[in-house]
Amino acid sequence: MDSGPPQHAVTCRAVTKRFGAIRALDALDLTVRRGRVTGYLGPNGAGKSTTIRILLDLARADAGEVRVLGTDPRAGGPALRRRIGYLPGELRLDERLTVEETLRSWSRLRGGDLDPAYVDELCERLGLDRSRHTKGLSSGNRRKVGLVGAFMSRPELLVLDEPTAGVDPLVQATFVELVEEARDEGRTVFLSSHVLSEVQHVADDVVVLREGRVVATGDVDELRRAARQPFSVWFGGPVPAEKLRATPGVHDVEVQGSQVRGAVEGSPSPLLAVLAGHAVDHLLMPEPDLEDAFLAYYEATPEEP
Amino acid sequence: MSGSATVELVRRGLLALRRSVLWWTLGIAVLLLTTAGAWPSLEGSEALESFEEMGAILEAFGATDLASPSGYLDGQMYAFMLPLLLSGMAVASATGSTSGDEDAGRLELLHALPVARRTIWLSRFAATALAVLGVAAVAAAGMVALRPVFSLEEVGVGRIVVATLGAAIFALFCGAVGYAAGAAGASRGRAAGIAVLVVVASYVMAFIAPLADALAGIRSWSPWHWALGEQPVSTGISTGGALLIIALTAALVAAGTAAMEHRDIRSA
Repeated sequence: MDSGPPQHAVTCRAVTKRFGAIRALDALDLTVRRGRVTGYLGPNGAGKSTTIRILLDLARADAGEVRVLGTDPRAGGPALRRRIGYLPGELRLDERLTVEETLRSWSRLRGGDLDPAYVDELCERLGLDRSRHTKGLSSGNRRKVGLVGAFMSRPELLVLDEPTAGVDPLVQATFVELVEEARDEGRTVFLSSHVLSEVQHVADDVVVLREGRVVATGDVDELRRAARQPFSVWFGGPVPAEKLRATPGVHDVEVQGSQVRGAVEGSPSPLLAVLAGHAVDHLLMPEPDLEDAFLAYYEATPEEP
Repeated sequence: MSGSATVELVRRGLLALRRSVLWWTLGIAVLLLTTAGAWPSLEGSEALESFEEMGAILEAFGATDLASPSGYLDGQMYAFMLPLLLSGMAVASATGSTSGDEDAGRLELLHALPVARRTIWLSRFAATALAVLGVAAVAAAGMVALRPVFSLEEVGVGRIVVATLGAAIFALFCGAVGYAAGAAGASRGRAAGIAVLVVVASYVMAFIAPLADALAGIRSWSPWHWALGEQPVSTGISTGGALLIIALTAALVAAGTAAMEHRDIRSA
């Protein structure tokens, strides 16, 4: 069997999936690079979960070629799934069990050779009470159980469908740490979300899906560089408005009393050079909104007929 | 197929069935007690013999010889009620633990684990089979224990065991119909409906249709008849019929499992 390029954890070529008359995936081409964190973005119904379910062999493509860790998911079977950790978008647990029993059962079904200390650590870091019954768990707590289940075997590939939906900010921070640790150990993370802001801090690559097709792919760092970075400056003396307007890379300059707002494209060095010659009381440069960068991309893409 | 995964899945399957097993056992225990318990006061009563004059209607429930202990047990329990209750249990368990769990989205994560699909599904059916056979064993043991209390010693242990076994294999056949329909992609409601239809059709073919002379031959096409004959306690069951229905059960389970291997698992 063609093992595919080893630098790719997942490749999809012309993958199509229909549900009756609906074409959920339309000749999808997708590449997930090994050892990186890839965010899979798109509005609800774009086909994110369908793609993910095909990678896990829960659903089968109607056409096209899928390779996960070099193997077709269906041919790979249990041996392939042993190397993957999965968090479903809609996690339904067996409500007759406690959290502890659920985790123990998954561990047995994974062959029982898991590191119990790591499972303990995951539960502790996520703040998961293992003695509770799964019945009546909040969706955030269910998500924690699912996250422990996905990470517990330290899999080569983590496939996480909307991992941070409904979890509180503290858990979100722990989640980001866990993902970064996985990447630092050379493992691959593929996670979906419907908003970029949820994944831009953790993802290295971003793939944007719309109506079953990939409409954009990018490196988050490049995107960050390309994105216009907003800034606000409060001057202690005269406002060098004209100088700022003439500075390369500086756009949308607006003056309001002693405050100037604008956006920088590319390096902020020319802006900083201008500011250095003036009395600056306060400077604010928030994280660029990559969502806007992508929206700009969308708007630049003509609508399909 | 991994051995420890299978053990874990069957164990989980049985745990999931424990509450319903309790209720079905309770129901069958009540039937057992009232049936056996009523015998001492009915034995030798003319009422039973006059019942026999109702002929056809009683025949429809497998009751042709109510005055003898064996005939009484056939008519009141083994020819109709016990197979019906065990079938109900088998259909409910087999569909609930497979297509029912799939409808609820509970199979999603299980199928993403390193376990073969067929291991998951076959383990679920195995749990149903163990539960049905367990309840049947309790029912048989109960009746054997109650015989001396209610002067039914005349009925041999072997006869009770065989009649109960007939009911259990018929029940598992019906459960396998529900399993196969769900495995092929039917929702739980539809799969259980198909199985119940098979139970009813088998019963009608075995007991109601033969009441009309022209339809007498239809009986030999009924799975109910293959598994249980007409009077399982009085006359025993046919080995050929039993083997046939066991083979059909195995074929249904195999065909359903194969169909499931080729389709998508439904998500919640």
